[in-house]
Amino acid sequence: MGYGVSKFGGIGINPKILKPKLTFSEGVLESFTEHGFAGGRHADLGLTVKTMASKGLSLIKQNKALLKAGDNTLIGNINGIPKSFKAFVKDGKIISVNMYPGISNRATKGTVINFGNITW
Amino acid sequence: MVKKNQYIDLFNQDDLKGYNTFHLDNCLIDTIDLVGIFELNVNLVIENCIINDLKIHSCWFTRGLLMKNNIVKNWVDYQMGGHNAMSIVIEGNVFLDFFNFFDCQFENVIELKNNVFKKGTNLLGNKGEGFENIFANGWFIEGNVGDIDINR
Repeated sequence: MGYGVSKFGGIGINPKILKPKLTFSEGVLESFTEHGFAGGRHADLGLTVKTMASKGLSLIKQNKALLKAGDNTLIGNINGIPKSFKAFVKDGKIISVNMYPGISNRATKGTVINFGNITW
Repeated sequence: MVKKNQYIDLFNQDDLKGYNTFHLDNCLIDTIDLVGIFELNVNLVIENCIINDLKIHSCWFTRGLLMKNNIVKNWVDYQMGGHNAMSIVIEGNVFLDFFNFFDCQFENVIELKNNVFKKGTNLLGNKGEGFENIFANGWFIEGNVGDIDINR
């Protein structure tokens, strides 16, 4: 089993070895759009919900080789603003994606991936 | 549909197809797997059951949920939940491990009454965190044993 640093900022298992065909379940974009942006909680990014949802799924896709079965937390800064994502993986599929403000210092179960500083 | 007095290895979305209501009563259940069902259009009642593994991550109980007088053995991870057009009632259960409510958006009321949370829960915890639970129509909580506002 190999380990490495991803070009997206995360440290994890060599993407060539694991899960090359991880795909999104049906309805992930819709549920992500409805839940992840409720109450305008990412309005500080100054982007439309549609744009943020699309870019959010792209970010998950870019890091999918690092995702493990179960709960995955992705943390980093978007346009200099701390943001966190969740991706839940089951049976080779990404079942759900979520995004919430900030980066918590609370311990979390599952995999944590640091995607670094990115610009949207 | 009522399923009563049975041993059940796995209960999932396939079992709910075609029903508007489903009542599990007095069953020994190894796994309930409702992960990622974003519109569970069934009024689900789970009563008097022993459940080894309750999996409800990303499940939206749009027609409500009643969990009453069950014993739940596992660490329950309810993330990205809520979106319940009808109430969620959790009453008289014993949860042997932690019950994690994470970034749930409850549209209708959630009631926690007379449960035992042996290792607690965080339904009302994590104040100020980006994943604090949201209650559009409030909550009703009374008579529980164990902390319900853990920061975890």
